[in-house]
Amino acid sequence: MTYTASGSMIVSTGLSSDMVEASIEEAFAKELNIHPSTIEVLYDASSGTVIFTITSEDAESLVDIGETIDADEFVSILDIPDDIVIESITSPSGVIVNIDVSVDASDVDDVDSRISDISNALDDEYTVESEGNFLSILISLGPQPYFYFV
Amino acid sequence: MTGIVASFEVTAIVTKSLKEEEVDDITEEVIRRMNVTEDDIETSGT
Repeated sequence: MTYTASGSMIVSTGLSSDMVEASIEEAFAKELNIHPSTIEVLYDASSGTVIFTITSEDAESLVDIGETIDADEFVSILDIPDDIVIESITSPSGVIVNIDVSVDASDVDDVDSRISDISNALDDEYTVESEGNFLSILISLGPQPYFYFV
Repeated sequence: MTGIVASFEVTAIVTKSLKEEEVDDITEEVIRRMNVTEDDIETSGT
């Protein structure tokens, strides 16, 4: 189970995409006091758009991070190169929880319909998206099933 | 032994971390709708 929060920025820069992404990732990690591996930064040079996604094992820390990013002074205290100018920033609008579920459905008839039923049942609180049904080799190495996709 | 694995992603917008009971509710819904056992289900990070 992972929690993510995404926001965006519009930047002006002549630096390469790799430089922009690395600089922003490092600056965010430093200012938010989080590990760089928990931040993904994607820069689209054609539009100047930066999408940043922060991952955490809990929702509460991401709510706090969202409030920090939302603060007026956040952009001004970011330690980024002078040749990256942040025109605007949109802080994360919410925290998303993501749960990946795998089911040994070897004995389940019409798997897609069953997933649709689950989606309808959870509809008030959750969104369910099928990631496909896979032929697998099942090897029992203990109490938990191990799925090897082929 | 070969079989079919159904894989899907459950998402929601939250303000607090999910409680164990909430994750259990999802698991129970899967068990009920797919007629499988808890041992047939693998849930990420729980």
